Amino acid sequence: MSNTSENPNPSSSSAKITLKTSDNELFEVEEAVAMKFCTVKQYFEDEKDNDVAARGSSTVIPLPNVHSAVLARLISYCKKLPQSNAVADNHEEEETKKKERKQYGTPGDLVDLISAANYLDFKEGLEFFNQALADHIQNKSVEYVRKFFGIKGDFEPHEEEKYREEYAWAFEGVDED
Amino acid sequence: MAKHQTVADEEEAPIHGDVLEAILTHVPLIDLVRACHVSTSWKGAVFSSLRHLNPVKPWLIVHAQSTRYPYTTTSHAYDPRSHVWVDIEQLRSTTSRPSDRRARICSTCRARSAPLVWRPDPIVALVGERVVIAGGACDFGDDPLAVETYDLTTRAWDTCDDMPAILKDSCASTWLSVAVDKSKMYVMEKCSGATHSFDPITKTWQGPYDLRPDQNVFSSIIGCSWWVWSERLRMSKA
Repeated sequence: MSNTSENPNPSSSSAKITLKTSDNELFEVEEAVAMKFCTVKQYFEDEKDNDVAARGSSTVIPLPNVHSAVLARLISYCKKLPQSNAVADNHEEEETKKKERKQYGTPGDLVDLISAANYLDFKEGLEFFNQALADHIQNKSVEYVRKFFGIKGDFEPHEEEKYREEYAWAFEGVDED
Repeated sequence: MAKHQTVADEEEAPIHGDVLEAILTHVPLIDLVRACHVSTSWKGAVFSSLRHLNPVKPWLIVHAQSTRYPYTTTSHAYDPRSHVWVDIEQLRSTTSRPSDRRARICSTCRARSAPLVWRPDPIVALVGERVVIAGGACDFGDDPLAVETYDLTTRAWDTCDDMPAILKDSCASTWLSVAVDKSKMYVMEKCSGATHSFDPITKTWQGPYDLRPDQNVFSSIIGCSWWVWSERLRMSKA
């Protein structure tokens, strides 16, 4: 069941850490990648303190809350992280980042990624995926947001009308759906 | 995905609670007005997010006027909560219907009487309930050291003691460093470190105080918690 395809540089000399997902898949990842997940880092450090295991792939770290499909996406995100997490200082860069965030699909997928990133205490990932969802709220119409997030408006029609009248400026000039 | 035509309950929506509140911290303040209107639970999440995670912060509003004809003015606001700049359309007249949602942000701006003296480069500071405008006026005609205050509660301008003459030839933006506490404004001449304080209630200046730590410091900046930041740059002979 070992998932070696997750490791593109087998020649790399860095230590490997094995992660076990909720559906019992094993992922062998580079230490540098695994250490981005604070939960894993913490676990690993505790193990070291107890002298239970030597470093490396002999330790298997169970991640009972993370599914293999989600972990694979998190790892691939993690690998291209260093440049993508720099603060965008110009408009063009921000646009590229926006496009990059768009690739992460449906709210359902993103929520899985967010809860996994949350469980793994993977801060950069959490920021990134939260922003990816925020992109679908910013400058979008209420109807678009409801449709995208699968929400039914539950305001009374007269409440809805009154609010729209009162805050008309906020409803103008949004992106086309 | 499973059928969603039936009833899209709150429980069925994929995002709620803490996750939604965390996402909303990334949404600019202006867009939260619409987000409030998505559903009642979103409205709750918006308020909770604003209360606990990423609260509203005061905006910096910048009005700029071009120094060349036709001296166009532009207004921008920076929202530090959302890390975004917002363009504010000029308010032409109160009857014009704003075509853009940004314009209405300014609907609470009201016309106020102008200061008495025209100044290209003054000090502007808010001390308590008073806006202090000092110096920076032109040499000809106006007194270059004139000081005025605008009281935000009584909405009236008032003239004060002139600035100390030592500050006369110092352009505010280049040579002066300004700090404000609850009751006073402090003005430091960056080169010499000479500092004066101004009390807008008594309308008087005090000083100078020499705040330069030693003679090798050639540029000092003053900050609001009374820290003096000094740049110690010794003449380096290459």
